[in-house]
Amino acid sequence: MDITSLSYLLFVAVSLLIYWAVPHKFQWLVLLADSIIFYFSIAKAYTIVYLLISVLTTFFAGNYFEKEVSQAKKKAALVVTLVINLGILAVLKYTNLLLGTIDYFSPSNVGRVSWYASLGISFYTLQLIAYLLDTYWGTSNAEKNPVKLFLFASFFPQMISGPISKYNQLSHQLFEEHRFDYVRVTYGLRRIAWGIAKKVIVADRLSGVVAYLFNDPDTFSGLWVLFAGLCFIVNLYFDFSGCMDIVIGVAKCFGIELVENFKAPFLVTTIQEFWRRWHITLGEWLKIYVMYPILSTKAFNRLAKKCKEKFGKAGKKMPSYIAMLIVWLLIGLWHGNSWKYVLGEGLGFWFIIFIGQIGEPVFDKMKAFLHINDKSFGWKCFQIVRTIFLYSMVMIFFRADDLPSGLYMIGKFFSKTHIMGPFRELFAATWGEFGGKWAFMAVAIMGILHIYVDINVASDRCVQDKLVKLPLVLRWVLYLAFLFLIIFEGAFGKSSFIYFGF
Amino acid sequence: MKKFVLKSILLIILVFGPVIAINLIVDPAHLFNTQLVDDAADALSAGKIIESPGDFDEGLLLEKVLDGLNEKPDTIIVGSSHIMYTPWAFDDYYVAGLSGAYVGDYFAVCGLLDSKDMLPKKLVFGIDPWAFDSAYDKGRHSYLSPMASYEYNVIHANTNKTSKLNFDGLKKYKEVYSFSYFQSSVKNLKGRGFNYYFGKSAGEIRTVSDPASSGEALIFPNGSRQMPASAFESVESINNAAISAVESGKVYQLKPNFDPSKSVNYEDFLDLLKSLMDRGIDVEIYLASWHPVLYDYFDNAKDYHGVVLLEEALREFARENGIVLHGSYNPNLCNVTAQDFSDWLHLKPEKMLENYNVILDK
Repeated sequence: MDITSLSYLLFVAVSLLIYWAVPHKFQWLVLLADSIIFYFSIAKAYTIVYLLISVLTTFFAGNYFEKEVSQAKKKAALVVTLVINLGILAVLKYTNLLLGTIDYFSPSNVGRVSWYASLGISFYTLQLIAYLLDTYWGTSNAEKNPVKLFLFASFFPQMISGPISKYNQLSHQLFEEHRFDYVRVTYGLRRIAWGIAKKVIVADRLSGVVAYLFNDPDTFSGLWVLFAGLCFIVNLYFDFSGCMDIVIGVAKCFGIELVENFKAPFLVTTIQEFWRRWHITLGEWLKIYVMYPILSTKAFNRLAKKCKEKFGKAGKKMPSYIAMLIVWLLIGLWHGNSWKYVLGEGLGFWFIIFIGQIGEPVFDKMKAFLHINDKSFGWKCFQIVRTIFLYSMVMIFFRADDLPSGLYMIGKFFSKTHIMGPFRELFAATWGEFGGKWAFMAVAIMGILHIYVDINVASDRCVQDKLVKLPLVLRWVLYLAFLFLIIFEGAFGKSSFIYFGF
Repeated sequence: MKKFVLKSILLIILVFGPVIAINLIVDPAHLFNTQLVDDAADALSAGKIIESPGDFDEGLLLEKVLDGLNEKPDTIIVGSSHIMYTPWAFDDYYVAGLSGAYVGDYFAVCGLLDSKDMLPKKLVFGIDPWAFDSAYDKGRHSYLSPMASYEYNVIHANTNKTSKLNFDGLKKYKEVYSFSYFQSSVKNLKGRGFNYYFGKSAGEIRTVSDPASSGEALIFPNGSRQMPASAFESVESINNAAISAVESGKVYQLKPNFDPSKSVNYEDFLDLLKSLMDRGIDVEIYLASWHPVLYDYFDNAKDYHGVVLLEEALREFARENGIVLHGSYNPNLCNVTAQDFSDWLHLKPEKMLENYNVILDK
């Protein structure tokens, strides 16, 4: 069931009618039934066993932490549960990475496995681990009903692509009473329409251009490599954030507020800030459950002391750079079973941030030497362009077939740029599939609308609040114009969301 | 709640009203108004040559034409556009071609023939490598897909044929409110003009007495097609299109990483052939040659080497079962050059026949 399809929207509509009609105490069971139906409509049925194992082990561990006094026993239970949950994720998701690596270093034709992972395994595993650690640390109460914990892990709108929710933030919403609320439901529906438009008008139209550019770096060399990277990040942004709009909009209709996963990332001035506004919940999760725990270990504290003694003030930050490196490598690993994510994306972003931080005194001196006013509008624009440039270049690894292809493309960036020949070829090959001039106009309209929305989001202003204040007739004209823009210029049924693959 | 429901209904009417109306009126694939296909089938059954009526459901036309045949032909040729345009040299034959046919479409055509007791003495299968990218019940021509399940059941379950006949006519009604169908409708409306759909001459079938002088795509009573020579592309344009397909890594509907030895769809297809042979039908295979640029790519690219493997597997199967195999995907083996193509995928008609007559394993 594709979440931009009419069948999914019909499924949501029928679910909502049942949800509002049943007594409060049964509402969460409607969500549970929906989540199970949704799961079986997409995934191989037997894969639900993996999800059940994860939920049950986490459930028992959480309750064990509350009863057990011995810290050592609690720690042992934590380790066992983590090993089981991460083990399932690792075996199902990374076996082929291991086999491929073995094959690469000692060609032995070990083959590949074709195991099916359970739906949304990368997302629900992180949610359950967050719940597990929260109950272990005592910052969250353990759930007493395993079925409710199952719903927390499998809540259908967010299951396959997040956002990664924390138990404290989501659980009470799943189980409390939700009556029909006109304002909330219409807000949710508008958000769904906005998400569908982003996906079918922009993301799916751009994906063909991106594929063409990435397939031939010899022709599209020099600045075309940057163009390919830019097209890809716009494609990815509209794809993933469009998916999030639909997910958050659907949950909102059910009265459930999910956390935002994007906050105008293209308007920021540094890569660090970019990542604080792009896939926010993954970054937050890694910060809370990986980076902070690593930095608070005895080993890291000892390392901090030693670095300070040896390198003085400059050495103080060394442990945080190492912890950051671990986090970035994990971000890469989380994205998929290829070294392009780990060594290309993960290491690439870490390197940019690392250089940015250790080089800060030098950059400050350069700014002073060049008399640059870092409060000026021009400098801010330069920083935004620089951030987008760096992000596009690193994300080339994300889109490339594999690590060597990514490296090859980056290498091609430094060769000569031919403008007209490649442009003519690109135009001839992709213009038709892209949809021609009307599709281009629709993409341009969406781009302008999106810049307006993002400027408002960056300032914590809600565009929908402005929209509902418009006169009724004008508002309906705008709704219909927007819906017909989707119907006329959407590329329907072209591809699934990129993040469904993770 | 009442306000919300009323507004929702109004919005649904305002959005879906025009979509449904345009889809039903324009109906680019003639799913709902089958008059045009009925007229085409009547004309073909009466032995007339007709101009191809643009977009129409090929499966539906095939069924109607078969219904109109007085007796079954000796030979029926099944496959994609690669067999539709071939000027065959048989005496009594029918061309059951479906554009871009998958395994599901081969099953469907056989199911259709089987259910109507029209299975001929000889069946020639034009096999394209993309055919195995989709399962037996997922043909490209959805109208006929229930026939594929029917034939599959005939082969595997050995059940009573009539009890398994389950023609799902409701499937097409999804298109009434489909946005992609609406986009096709709008495209047709723009291309043909308002008068075409609302005027008196809407959807007329035009018969042709002199096919040689016609500048239109034609359908003959035996199901074969003819493209006008004016539609043939220049060699340069064809070469560019072939190079472009290679560079983009997108070769029509062919998916990468196909391996016949691991393909369930391929196994199902072999089961179909074996079953037909068991029923006393003479089965033959035809492989249309690819453009030299593309074949060279298949031969060398890891992703598409499956095309070469497929031919090897089919040749082996043909040898083991005494099946005559015509042509080859490899243009070099059939003396095919870039000049022999009418577009980057199809050979010129006379070359198709020459290609068909090449039998390498004698």
